[in-house]
Amino acid sequence: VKTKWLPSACYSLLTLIVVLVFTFPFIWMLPISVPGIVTSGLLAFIFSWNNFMFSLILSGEKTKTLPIAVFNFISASSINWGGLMAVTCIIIMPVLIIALLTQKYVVSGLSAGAVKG
Amino acid sequence: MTQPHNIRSGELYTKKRTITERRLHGAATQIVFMTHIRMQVAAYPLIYRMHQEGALMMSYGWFDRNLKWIFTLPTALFVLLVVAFPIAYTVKISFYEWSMSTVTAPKWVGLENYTALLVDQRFWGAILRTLYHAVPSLVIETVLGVAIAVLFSRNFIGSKWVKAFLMLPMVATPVAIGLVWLLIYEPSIGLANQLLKGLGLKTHAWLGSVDEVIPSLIIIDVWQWTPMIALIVMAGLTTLPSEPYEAAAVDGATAFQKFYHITLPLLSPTILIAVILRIVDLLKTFDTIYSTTQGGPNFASETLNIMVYTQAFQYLKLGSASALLMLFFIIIMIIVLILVKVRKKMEAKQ
Repeated sequence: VKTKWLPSACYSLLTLIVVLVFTFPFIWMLPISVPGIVTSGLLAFIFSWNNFMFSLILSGEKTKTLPIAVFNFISASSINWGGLMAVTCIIIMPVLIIALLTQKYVVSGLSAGAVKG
Repeated sequence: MTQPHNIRSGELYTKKRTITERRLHGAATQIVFMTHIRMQVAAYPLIYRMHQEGALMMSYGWFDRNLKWIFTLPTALFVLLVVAFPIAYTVKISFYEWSMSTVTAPKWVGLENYTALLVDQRFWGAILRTLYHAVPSLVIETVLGVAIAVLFSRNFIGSKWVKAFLMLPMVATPVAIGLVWLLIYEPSIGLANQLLKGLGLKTHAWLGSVDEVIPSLIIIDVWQWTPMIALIVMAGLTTLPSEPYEAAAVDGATAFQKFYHITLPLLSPTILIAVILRIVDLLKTFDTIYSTTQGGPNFASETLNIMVYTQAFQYLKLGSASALLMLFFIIIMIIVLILVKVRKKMEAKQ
C-alpha cells in the first residue's frame, strides 16, 4: 500500500502490532489451553445439569428442570416406582456417558488443585 | 516454506505430532519470530524517537505498574457481583423481618432474628444433626478413600477403567442418586431389607425411623463421595518421590511400615486438602437429604441447610433464614480456618 501520510516504518510497526495482537492468542495461547478449556467446560456442564437447589428455588410451574420434575412421580399417598426410576435413568445417563467418554479431562478436573506441582 | 495448514486450528497441541509436523511447526515459529525481529529493526527509528519524547515510556510504565490490577479486574468485578453482593444482601436481610412479599416492605428488627435462633431448640438440634451427619461420613470416607487409592495406585490391566468407574458416583446427579437410594431403603420392597431378609437378619426401617435416618444418609454419602478422596489421593500418590521407598526396601521394611512411615506422612498435605474440600461439601449437603427425607421423620434428619430452606421457602421467614445462614457461614469458616492452620503447621514441620 502506497500512501504518503506516514513514514513506512509506521506501517511495519502497525503490521507487527496487528500480527501479534490478532494471531498470537490463537496460534500459541489457545492450543496450549485447550485441555483446560475442555475440562472447565465439561465440569460446568456436569454441575449445571446436576444442579438442584437453584432450580428448586427459582423454577416455576412451567420451567422445571429434570431433577425437579422427577418429584411429580411422588405423591402424598404413593410413589410410582416404575416411572420414578425411568426418569432417574434419563437424568443420569447423559452425564455418565459424557463423563465416560471424556474421563481423562473429568478426572483431572475433579482432582485438580489439590496436588501441588 | 509454507505453514502447516492446521496450525491455526490448534490441532498441533492436541494430537500426537509426527517428526515432520514438529519440524514444520518449528519452522513456522522461526519464520514468525524472524519477521518480528525484522519489523522491530524497521520500526526502530520511530520507536527511538518516541523514547526520546518519553511518550512510549510513560504509557509502558503506567501499564507495567498496574498490570496486576488490570489483569485481575474482570475477575474481581465478577466476584464482587456474584459473591460479595449476595452475602452483603443476606447480612442486611438478617436484620429485618420479611416474608418475600412485594406489598409489605422489610421491617427492621435489629438482632432479634439472631437472639430468637440462639434460644431455639430446633436450631441447636440442627447443628448437632449436621455434625452427626458430617463427622462420621468424613472419617469413613477418608479412611476408605486412602485405602482404595493406595490399593489401586499401582499400574495393572484396567487401572484406567477403575479410575473411570470411581468417578461415576461423583458426576451422577445427586437427586437421582437420592431417589435410587430411596428405593433401596424402601422397607417392604427395597433391596436393603430384601438382602437382610435373605441373610436371615433383622430388617430395619432405614429412612423411616428417627434413630436410623442419619446413619442411612451417611451410607449414601460415603457411597457417593469416597471416590473423590480416592481420586485426589491417587493424584497425590503419583507425585511422591521413589527414593524413600528404595531406602526402606534396603533396610528391609515391611509393606505396612512403608505405608505408615513413608506414604502417610508424605501424603498428609494432599489428604488434608481432600478433607477440607469434603467437610465443606458435607456440611452443606442438601440434594440427597432433600430428595430422600426432606428433613423428616419428625425433623430427625433436618440439618442446617435443610432448615434454612424450610425457614425461607416454606415458612417464608426470610429474615430468620438469613440470620441462620450467617451463623452457618461462620461455623463453616471457623472449621475451614482451623483446618488451614493445621495444614500450614504441617507444612512448616516438613
